[in-house]
Amino acid sequence: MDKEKLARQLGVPRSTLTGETRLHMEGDSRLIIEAHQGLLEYSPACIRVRATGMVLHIQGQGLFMEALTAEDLVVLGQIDSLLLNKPKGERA
Amino acid sequence: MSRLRGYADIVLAGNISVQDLNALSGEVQMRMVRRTKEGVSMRVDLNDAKRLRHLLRGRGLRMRIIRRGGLPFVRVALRRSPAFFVCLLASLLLLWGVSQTVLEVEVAGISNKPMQAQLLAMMQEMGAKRGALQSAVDKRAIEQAVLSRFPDLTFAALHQRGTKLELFVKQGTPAPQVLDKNEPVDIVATQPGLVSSVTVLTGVAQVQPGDTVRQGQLLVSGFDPALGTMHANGEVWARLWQTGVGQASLHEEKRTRTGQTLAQTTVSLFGWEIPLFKNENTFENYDFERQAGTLLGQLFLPIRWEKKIYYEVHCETLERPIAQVKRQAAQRALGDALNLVPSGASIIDKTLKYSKIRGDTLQATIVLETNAQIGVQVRSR
Repeated sequence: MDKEKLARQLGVPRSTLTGETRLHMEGDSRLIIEAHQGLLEYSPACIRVRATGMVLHIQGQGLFMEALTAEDLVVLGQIDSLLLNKPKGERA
Repeated sequence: MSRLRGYADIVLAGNISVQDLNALSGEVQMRMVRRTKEGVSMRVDLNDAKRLRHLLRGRGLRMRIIRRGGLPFVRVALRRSPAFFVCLLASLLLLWGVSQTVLEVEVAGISNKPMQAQLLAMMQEMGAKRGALQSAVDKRAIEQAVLSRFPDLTFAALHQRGTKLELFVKQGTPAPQVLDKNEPVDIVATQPGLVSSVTVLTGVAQVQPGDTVRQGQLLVSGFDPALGTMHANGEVWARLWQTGVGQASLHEEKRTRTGQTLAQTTVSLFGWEIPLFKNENTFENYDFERQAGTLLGQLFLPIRWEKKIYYEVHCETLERPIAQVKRQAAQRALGDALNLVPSGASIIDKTLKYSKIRGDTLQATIVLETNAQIGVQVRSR
């Protein structure tokens, strides 16, 4: 059965069964990324993270990672833009 | 959680790449990851810091610990300060000591103030007083002493609630007078009335129907000149009159809350009242509500709190329907009169009159005519 359909029938969030990346943003200074697939770039002005089927491009000032684990990432700082790119063939 | 387990702020010096970060993130939890001139600074758990040294081998990176923190290091600091533990222990001992003493003594179960004062004085004589050790108070002995010194009381129990000793007592119902059937007795009137019937089983009747008697008057004598003393027995019924008065207001005050409220909270300890968040009541008309309680069940100290809540109300005077006022006044008058009617009496007639007093109050006066048995046996003098 399609995982998305199963999640709907069970009444649970889709991402819990599909393992998709989840983003949670609080204002413009905190971004929580769950189920990411690895860092691609890190600097105080730019952070790139691989997500499910795309790459997240976070730009801002004074960016740092409040928490970093194999699956979760919390970015703090002044976030100016958040882009979702769907490149092909890029690897970490 | 890291503050409980302990943490280390470290710097990974060298050319650290995102591949290195990705690899390390799978092994340790990293927090506050920032780029610095040296490399990358972060905070990790103490255990993870120890493992990181091994994980960094072969990557060309060096780890430098800037500072350590958390509960494990607080414990170490405290060990160097014995005075802290001494003071902590002394505080705990003091608190425990206070909880073992009596700080308040109370009597419950009776409203008679003089008797309450007597019971408190007696308890103080027997050692149940403020400042006494709770273990030194003999509760059973006090309960027994209370029951023997106050025969009116049928129950006494001394409870300890935190630092408060509470004596709960119960007054008994007095037993009716019991007379021996061979004992010489007379029958006298319990209240004044107009005699309606006299039934004598034993003794000599002193009154007849139609006589007016006063309270205490001899109705049936237990002495016969020919037969001597005897145990008088019989019934004397008389007509009695009871008057009851009831009042009701011709106007009523309609109070509507405006929604404005004001609260005053005070804390009291040993009779000292300390106001907290006190606001002056400036409402012209208000409803009042009081809440009170104790802190920690008075476990260590008898601390009580009291909160007074004032609700502003808008008052309006309205005139009540006269029929409703009459009905209310009559009910109150009847209730007042019924309190005076002896048990077992039957109501023969009633008279109700109304009068206006003070311009805004209706007064109802009811006179009940009843027929009751007024004789009671007493020992012959």
